[in-house]
Amino acid sequence: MSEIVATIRKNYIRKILRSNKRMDGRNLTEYREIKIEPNFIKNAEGSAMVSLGNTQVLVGVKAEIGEPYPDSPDKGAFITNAELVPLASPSFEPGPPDENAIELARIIDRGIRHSEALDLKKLVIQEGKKVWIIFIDIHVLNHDGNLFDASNIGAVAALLCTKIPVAKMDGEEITVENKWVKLPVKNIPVTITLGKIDDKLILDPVIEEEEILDAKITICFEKNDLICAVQKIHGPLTTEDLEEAIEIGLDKSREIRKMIEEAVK
Amino acid sequence: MDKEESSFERKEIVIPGQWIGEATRPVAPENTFIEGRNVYSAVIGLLYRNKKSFKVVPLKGRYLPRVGDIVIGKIIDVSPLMWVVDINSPYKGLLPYEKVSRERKKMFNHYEVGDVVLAKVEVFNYTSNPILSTKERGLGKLSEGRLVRISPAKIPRLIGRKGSMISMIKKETGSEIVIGKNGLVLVRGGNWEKENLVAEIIKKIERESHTTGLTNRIQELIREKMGLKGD
Amino acid sequence: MSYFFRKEPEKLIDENGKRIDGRDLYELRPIKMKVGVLKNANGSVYLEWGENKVLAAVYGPKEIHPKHLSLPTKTRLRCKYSMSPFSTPERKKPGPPDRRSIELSKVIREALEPAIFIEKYPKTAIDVFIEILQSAGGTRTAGITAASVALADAGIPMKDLVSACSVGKVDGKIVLDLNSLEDMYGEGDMPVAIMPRKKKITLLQLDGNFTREEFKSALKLAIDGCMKIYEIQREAILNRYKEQKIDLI
Repeated sequence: MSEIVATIRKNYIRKILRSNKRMDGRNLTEYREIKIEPNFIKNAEGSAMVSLGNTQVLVGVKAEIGEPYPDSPDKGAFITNAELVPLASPSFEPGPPDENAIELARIIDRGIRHSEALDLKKLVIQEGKKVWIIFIDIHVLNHDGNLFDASNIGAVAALLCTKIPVAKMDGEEITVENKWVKLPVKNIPVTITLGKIDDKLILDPVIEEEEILDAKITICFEKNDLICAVQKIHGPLTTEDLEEAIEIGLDKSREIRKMIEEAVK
Repeated sequence: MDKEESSFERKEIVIPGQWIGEATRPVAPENTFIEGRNVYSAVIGLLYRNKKSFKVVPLKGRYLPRVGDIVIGKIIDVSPLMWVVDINSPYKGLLPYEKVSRERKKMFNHYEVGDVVLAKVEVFNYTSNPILSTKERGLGKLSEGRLVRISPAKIPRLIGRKGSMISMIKKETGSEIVIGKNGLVLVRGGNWEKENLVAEIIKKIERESHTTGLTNRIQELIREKMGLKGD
Repeated sequence: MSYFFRKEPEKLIDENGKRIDGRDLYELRPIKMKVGVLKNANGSVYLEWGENKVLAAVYGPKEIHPKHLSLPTKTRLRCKYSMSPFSTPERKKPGPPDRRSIELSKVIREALEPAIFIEKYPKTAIDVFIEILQSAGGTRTAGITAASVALADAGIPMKDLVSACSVGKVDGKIVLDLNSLEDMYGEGDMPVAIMPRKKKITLLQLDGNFTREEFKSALKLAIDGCMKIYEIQREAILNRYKEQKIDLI
């Protein structure tokens, strides 16, 4: 985000926002076109390729057998990881995940965790000994803004189409049958990201808008319209902003949830 | 047949390493190379031929500064002697204070980081960064309008033969268009709708630069869109 | 789908001379290539080669960082081959590149560099990123094939494309284009890349046991394979510009 944005560009975006327009012709509260392609990767237990306009994200889910955390012997586990691979943007550098990649992974993780989208109790093979560990790997392939929502759609869609084999434990021996079952997914969290420029809230900012945002907010809605995770980024927001964001977000989250359900049918 | 390309007949799309013909001169034409007696294309491009010779126009590629080019750049740093300018090229432009204006007094804060300037490439020979100047009339800070970025390889097509394409667009839309050789174009049309239309037109030319009959198609399209808007 | 059920097949080639995926000995897997798929990159290619899924992106020529890597008379070509965590049956741990990826990045760079006019852009860098999204044997040759087209797509001046494919020895026979099972359980593997116009070899590696005769016929088969790959590369480039309507008013 350290790009120096041309003043003339900033002014232009601001000027047209005043008449409720955006550079790409969208309304303030309109998403770019969303495309979801489930089961893109054969070597993954589940996967989805998602595009949000020119932003492209690939999410793969892998399952491994491992030991449960000591404090939750009756639960499986999942780990969310995000890679901003350098082929996705001239500003991404090779190397271990930076703060942006870590924040991205943690926001997606929190939405899934707090909506209890994954029924972790059903991922136990033998309590206290062996459980399924689900890896959600988010790969950003082209960065044109709003990585959060694209990644969330990808992560949830990938989980919904994930199948894992049936595993049993007999003494110390684990047997894995060639019989596949769907991952126990019982909720569909949907993140909605809005940016603020001057006094306008805009949905699904593209990268040019993100670079001049005063503030950004991501809200994660679960089914029954509950809010399960929120992250504010950059500068300050008012209570009114938040109320407006929730109102806009609620409707959109239902639409997107429906799209995800359709896509993985 | 498109008038603009009538002196050269367009043949085909060529790829790197593709044989084009026998060498007639010792120096390879731009975007080609010679091995033995043969000329090959060095890029993905359009091959044009006439009776005597041929040329290859690349379809993509980054901007390489050339002395005399007018470019649109963004001030990205200030040092005690000069501004550093991003000119959408592998080489950053340097704009020394003395190349800015004749008046010596207000040099230091003449430009700020983030300003967009129209500048001329004065010196460049690959041994050091290109030296820019904004001294001439019409050059200097660009303070409003919509910036459109296209592939620098498509700029000649946007201009057209003897400026035919660009003057047609200006005339039909009544907007002001400033072109930087480095792939940046500034559009001022008075309102968002018009600027958006011109931006879309420019993007369309970028995508379809290799097709024939483009000028006519673009003209029809503008008329259609401007007509619709008038209803 | 997963590593849980991998086992060694009894035979890799059946009595009719068909391979485990139904191919003839000298047959390539189906290949699909699309040029210009990533908006941010200067050049990009998406390649499906059998069950391999590969993305290649080129950024540059661009300013070089850190500055001391700059070469006074030519561009510095940098390649990075990496596998995404879900690309392999067993999850590939993300993190710094492992020894295999580092070696592959180097041989890929050396396979591509001879085709580029590197003296055209002194003091700059060209970055080539190869991301293996799904791997199924032959990812380095798929990566080279995709990357060379991505370089051309970026408008970088080149003497030729680079076309690559592997040959190997399976159940005692020389075969073209190993799949992952043949790669894993076969007797040998030989990835090759060439610049097709003059058939100059820019990559040659070999693992396994080959007699002199076998080596000779394997190399010939590999070069024939590369020539077929070249046709696919050419088609893919032309298709990119054909897809958009060219009307002749």
